[in-house]
Amino acid sequence: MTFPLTTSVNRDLAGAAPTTDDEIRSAGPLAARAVGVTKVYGTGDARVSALGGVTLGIPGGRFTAIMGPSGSGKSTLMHCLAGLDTVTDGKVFVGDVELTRLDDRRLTRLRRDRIGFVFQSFNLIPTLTALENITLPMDIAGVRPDPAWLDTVIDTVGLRPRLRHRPSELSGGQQQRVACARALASKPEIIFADEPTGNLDSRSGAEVLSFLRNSVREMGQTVVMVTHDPVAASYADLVVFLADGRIVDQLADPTAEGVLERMKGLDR
Amino acid sequence: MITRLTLKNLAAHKLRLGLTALAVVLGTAFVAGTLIFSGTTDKAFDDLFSEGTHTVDVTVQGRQAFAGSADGVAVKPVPASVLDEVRGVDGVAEARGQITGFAAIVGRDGKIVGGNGPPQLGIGWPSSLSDYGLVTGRGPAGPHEIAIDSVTAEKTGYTTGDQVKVVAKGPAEPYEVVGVFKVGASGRTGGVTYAAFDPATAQRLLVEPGSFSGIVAKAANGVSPAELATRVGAVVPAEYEAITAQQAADDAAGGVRELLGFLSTFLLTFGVISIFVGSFIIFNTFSMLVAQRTRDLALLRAVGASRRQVTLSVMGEALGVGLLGSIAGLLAGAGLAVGLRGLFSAFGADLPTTGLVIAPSTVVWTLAVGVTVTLVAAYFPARRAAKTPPVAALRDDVATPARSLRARAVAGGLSAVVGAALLATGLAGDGGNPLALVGGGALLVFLAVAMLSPLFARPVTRVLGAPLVRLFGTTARLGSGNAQRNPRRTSATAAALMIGMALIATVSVLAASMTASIDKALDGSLGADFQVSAGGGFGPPGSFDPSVAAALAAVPGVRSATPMTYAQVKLDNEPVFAAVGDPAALAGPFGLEMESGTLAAGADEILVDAKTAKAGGWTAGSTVRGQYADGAFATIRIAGVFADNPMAGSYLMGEATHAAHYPGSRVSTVLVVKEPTADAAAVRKDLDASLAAYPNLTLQDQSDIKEQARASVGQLLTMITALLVLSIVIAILGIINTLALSVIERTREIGLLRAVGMGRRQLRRMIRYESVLISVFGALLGIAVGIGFGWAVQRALASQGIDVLSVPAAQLGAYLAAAALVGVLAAVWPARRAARMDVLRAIATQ
Repeated sequence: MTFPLTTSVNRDLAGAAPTTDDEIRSAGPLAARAVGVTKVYGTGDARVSALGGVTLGIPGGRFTAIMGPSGSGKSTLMHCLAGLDTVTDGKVFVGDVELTRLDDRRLTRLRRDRIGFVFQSFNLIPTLTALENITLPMDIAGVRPDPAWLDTVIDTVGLRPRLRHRPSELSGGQQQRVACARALASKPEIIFADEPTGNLDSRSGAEVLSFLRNSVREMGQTVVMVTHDPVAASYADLVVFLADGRIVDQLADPTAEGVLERMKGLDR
Repeated sequence: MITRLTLKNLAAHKLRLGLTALAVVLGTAFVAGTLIFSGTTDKAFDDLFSEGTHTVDVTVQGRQAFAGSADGVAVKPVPASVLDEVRGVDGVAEARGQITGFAAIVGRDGKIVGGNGPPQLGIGWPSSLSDYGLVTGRGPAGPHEIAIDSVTAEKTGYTTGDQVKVVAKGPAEPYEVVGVFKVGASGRTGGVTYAAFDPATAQRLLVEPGSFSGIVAKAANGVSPAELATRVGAVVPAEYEAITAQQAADDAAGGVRELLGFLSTFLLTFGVISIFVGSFIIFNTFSMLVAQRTRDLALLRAVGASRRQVTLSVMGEALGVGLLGSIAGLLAGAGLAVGLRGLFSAFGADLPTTGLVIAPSTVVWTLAVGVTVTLVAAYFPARRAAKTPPVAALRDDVATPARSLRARAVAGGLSAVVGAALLATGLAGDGGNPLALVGGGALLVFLAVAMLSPLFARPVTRVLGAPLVRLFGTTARLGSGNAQRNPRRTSATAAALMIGMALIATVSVLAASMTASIDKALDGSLGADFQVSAGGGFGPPGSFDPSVAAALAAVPGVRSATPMTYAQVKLDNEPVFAAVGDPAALAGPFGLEMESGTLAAGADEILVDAKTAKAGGWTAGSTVRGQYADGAFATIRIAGVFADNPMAGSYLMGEATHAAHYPGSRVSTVLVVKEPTADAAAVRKDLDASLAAYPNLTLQDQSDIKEQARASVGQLLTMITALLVLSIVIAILGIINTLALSVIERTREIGLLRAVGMGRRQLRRMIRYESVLISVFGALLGIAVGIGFGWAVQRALASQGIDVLSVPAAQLGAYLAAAALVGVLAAVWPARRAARMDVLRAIATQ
């Protein structure tokens, strides 16, 4: 493994990843954390271990990227952190709530009220307008959106002229921006983005990533993004590297080149 | 290769295709059930009627040009002298007089055993050559003895030694049961009750003293029945005919068979409706499967499959579904046939039984209908599948572009115009086969509505959904949005419900109009305060002795009691029914008003109403060529024209004509008018008392008659609605299928909704709203079409007495509410499936 020098390295977080709950908790205020999480699919000969004991803290108000080659378990990790998937062993917390103890009803409510999502594709309900899609989680919850905040979000993503349009009338980049706006609009504690730029051209991708980074810098939002694109990862404050279901490395304030170097190391 | 692909696809979509096959099963089961039922019943009746022919070769009876009298049984009695002549014919080994007629056994409850339905027969003992074997006791030997059949004995508990009342021509009289006999070899009576008297008593009660209802003869060795019939025919007087026993059995069975044929057609109509409704579901399912498999199909095309092969692969699936569904339908049909038999015996029509007859033609028809309909319905989606461009395999957006609705609008409009024209022609009775015209026209109109409804599915569901959205918020908005997003699918799904609802609404409008028309007619015209008639319900009205009228006239407070009946007569070769009675006496009770001519009808004279006179170009004094039931031709004079009168009908025949040409001067109704000052309740009580000896007769006042008319209309409505419910069941299956397929299609969307926090309950609600909107849309279309049909049919029948249009708003509203409930029910299973979906897997689905 090589550890190229990066500019303005955050000493506390750079280098080898912390491995115990105490270690990650000592690092600062956490928006979410995983403690000794394992995830096994199938049984017997068909048994596949996707996560082999992951302990990870997601710092609040930061933009964290989870990187790794295909099959490294990065998506599984995100799904477990977001309460979309159950873990085989270990614990997952969002804030102080232990997700691994919640039933489906409570988990649904938690996702609705405290988590925002941006997926790679198919982020929007085709029958709803852009605005209706943005307010969907709050509409489901039966709460009124904060109009001032909604205005801010809409202006930030630059979608005001398109609010009445349906998803089919929006470009791919615009659709992802609507998805980002939806994730932000309910002021969630944490936003999970799963390859949000995977289906976009580089310009639209850059817009979406800038928007996510700005929401962290300017609004203090916590964002976790899964990606395999080093350029996308370079927008993050911190990159966590995953290989074979384990955290193998961390990199703070990354550059695309730095991330690429480390990825090459992982592939070896 | 394509075959293997087809089989794999069938296996892969078991559930979806299973629901589609179920639609085929329900439709074909009805067709198969009807065919099996009528085949079986036909055979059973054949067996029953041919039982007697084993021992008899020739029958002699009064000649009948056509079924002349209203009760259809009275034929000219055969005097004993004819029997002697027959006995003298060379080749007759044995001949006997046969005595058959109406004789009803009175049960322990004072009511007629058997009631409505199969006839109550009296027979002479032992007059027939056929086999009535005594089970217990002996044959009747005196004027006060009878033997009864074993089924009746079992039903009533009557046994030898019991005193039993029997009503025949005259009032009920007591008899002692001296024997119980078995009818034929099987002992089954098919619901007919038998009372056997000694020959003299039987003649007096059932025919005329010294006369027989017919003569049966057995041929000597070496003489064929046909030969014997010729020989006997040459001897008997011209007003009698000699026919072979086989011919007589066929004639007797013919009437029943005609009735069964009518019943089969009636039931088959509902089978055809079911299959028609099912075809929409098949069409829709295959459309959706093709849409969902666009990428697979495009991949097939990309790797070199021809359009033909793609079409064939989809058609192959349809063939599989159609074949499996039809075979299952055939089996279900056998069960249905048994059920139908049970239904008939529950209504008192105990049909003779035999093993289930599944004719080869039944199998062929069922399979042919099931498979053909499935293939035709799947053809259009299959053709669309073949048009999938290979490049669609590479594109991410699977959604097929919205096609223009213009072609649809044109085809639908055309179909509507042609359908309406056919309907109008059929209803006007101009074309060759009105029933086929009306049926074909209705079919086209349904197709037109189904084709055109996508044009307004979106706005209508939006309007219907608006209050839901206001009340229930986002889940309703999502559900409403889903109902609007694919107008073709929503329309095709709703169309299935539309058809059933339209037919039910049509029948409801007609029933309401009939009731309203009857009310109006009775209010306006009935001058009689009471009416006495025999039987009622199913079958032809019974008849009874005219002396009853005299007895009723003698009741205090009664001003008049006028006997009347109905008879068939041919005028210009057209058979018509005429009321029979003394016109002057009937003028009061009927409220007859003469427009021209005289209020009297002598021999070969008839009165007609104004409408008929106009249509025939007749005035008082015109003549028309006619024929009576005994075959006699006559030049009939129009003696007078009366104003249209719903009670009298179109024709009124005098008693003299009737007595001359229609055997047995019996009546079917007595109209009673009370003195204006007499108390109705008191008169009724006295009338009832004087009828005590006639348990076969019913006394009704005006409100009873109205009530009876209303009840029989209601009964018909209930029966037809019950049969139409089958098509509603199929429509429900269609909604379930569409929703289930939509849920699968929207897996990722549902995953997304769940991810961003929609609870399972909310998800279920969302699907329920969609379902309810589709159902209500279908029901609204159906009710609109139904009101249109009802109006058209009422207009067509206006000249036949249904001259008031009545739209039962409350009833139709209830149907709409029921449709909403149907939507809720249909959503249960798809909603549960959607709610159970694993969130993660739903998101990850490609």
